[in-house]
Amino acid sequence: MTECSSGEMRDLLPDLLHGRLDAGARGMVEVHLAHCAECRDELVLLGHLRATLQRGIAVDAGTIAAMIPPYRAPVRRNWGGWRAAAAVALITVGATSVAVARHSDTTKGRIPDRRSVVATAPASMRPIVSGPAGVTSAAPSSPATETSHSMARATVPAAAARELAVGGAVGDLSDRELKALVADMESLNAIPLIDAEPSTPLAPVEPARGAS
Amino acid sequence: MTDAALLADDQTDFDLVARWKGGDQRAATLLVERHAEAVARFAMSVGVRQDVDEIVQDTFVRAFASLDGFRGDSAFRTWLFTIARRLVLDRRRAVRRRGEQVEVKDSDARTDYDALDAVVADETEGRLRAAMARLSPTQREVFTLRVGEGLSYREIAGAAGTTEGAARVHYHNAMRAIKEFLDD
Repeated sequence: MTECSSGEMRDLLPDLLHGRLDAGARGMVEVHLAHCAECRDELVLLGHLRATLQRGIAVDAGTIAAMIPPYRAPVRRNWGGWRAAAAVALITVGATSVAVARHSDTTKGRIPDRRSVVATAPASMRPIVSGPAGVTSAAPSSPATETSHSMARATVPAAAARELAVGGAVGDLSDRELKALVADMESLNAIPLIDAEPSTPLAPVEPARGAS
Repeated sequence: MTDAALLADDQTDFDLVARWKGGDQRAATLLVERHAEAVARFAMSVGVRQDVDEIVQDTFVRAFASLDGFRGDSAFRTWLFTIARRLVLDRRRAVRRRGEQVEVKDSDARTDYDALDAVVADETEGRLRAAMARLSPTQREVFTLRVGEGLSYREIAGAAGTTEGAARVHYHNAMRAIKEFLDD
């Protein structure tokens, strides 16, 4: 059996067999078939093959149909609850992460910085701040610094605090010693611009002779 | 032909699907009657040798269970072929996991068609079956969809998991092989 050289026409023969061509294409193929014996033979063969393929299979449609359950509309899930739960979980995880990070920062035994050491000392031992008009006063304690002070108190080892603090806490001084200390401080001629690093109790300073 | 069947002839597959979704169970029966044999033929074309009824049944049960996912991009029958093909492949994988030989060879298909030949009185039909049995599994699948079911190459590509171009090549190679067999 020979083949027609027109692959396009041969391509359309199964569609012609199944009646799937529109009027234009069908007319074109039929004109071709009128002149092409090979395609006519192939169309006859396709008809036999189709009949063969469609024969000999019996299916019990009733039994199959009985297995099909009635239709059930899909249940739409309410995703609002899931979204809220996810948001709560996210916030919880975030807050936990922050807390853990802070906790690990404070428990790694880092060397306390100057501010936290100073904060450990009583208010009277805080660095002297020189105001614009030469007024001296203890550094003010804002809520934020109070928070850091309390954290510092909790974290600086007690031994280190004793070493670095000047003569211990003010509560350890008697009223007389306290007055002497204040007097000494008022008699200072120069006030350091940065924090002093006192390591010993301040000794009384004699006013400079000849100073005016 | 029953009244229901006559009525069904005038209704598209989508009409029947809508009726079934509306609670009409007879619409499901009509759809099965309309497509079951085609699904069975397709299953045989892809090498199912036994339990064809089971494959057809599973195909329809799965199809109706997931009808909401059917977007209508293809014909209902083509969609059924896609499901049937997947079921056949799943079954082969399951058998392979059990260590059984599942590769469909031409000789297997030939045996299948030989068995059918025993009940086919017409010698010509027997020769045609023998000719188709010699096709490769892919060629036979494409040829069955093209000639037996009249699907376009695009529909075949969707059902058989291939491309239009490949489907066209498989069809023409199959046709050539059948002619050569019949000429011998």
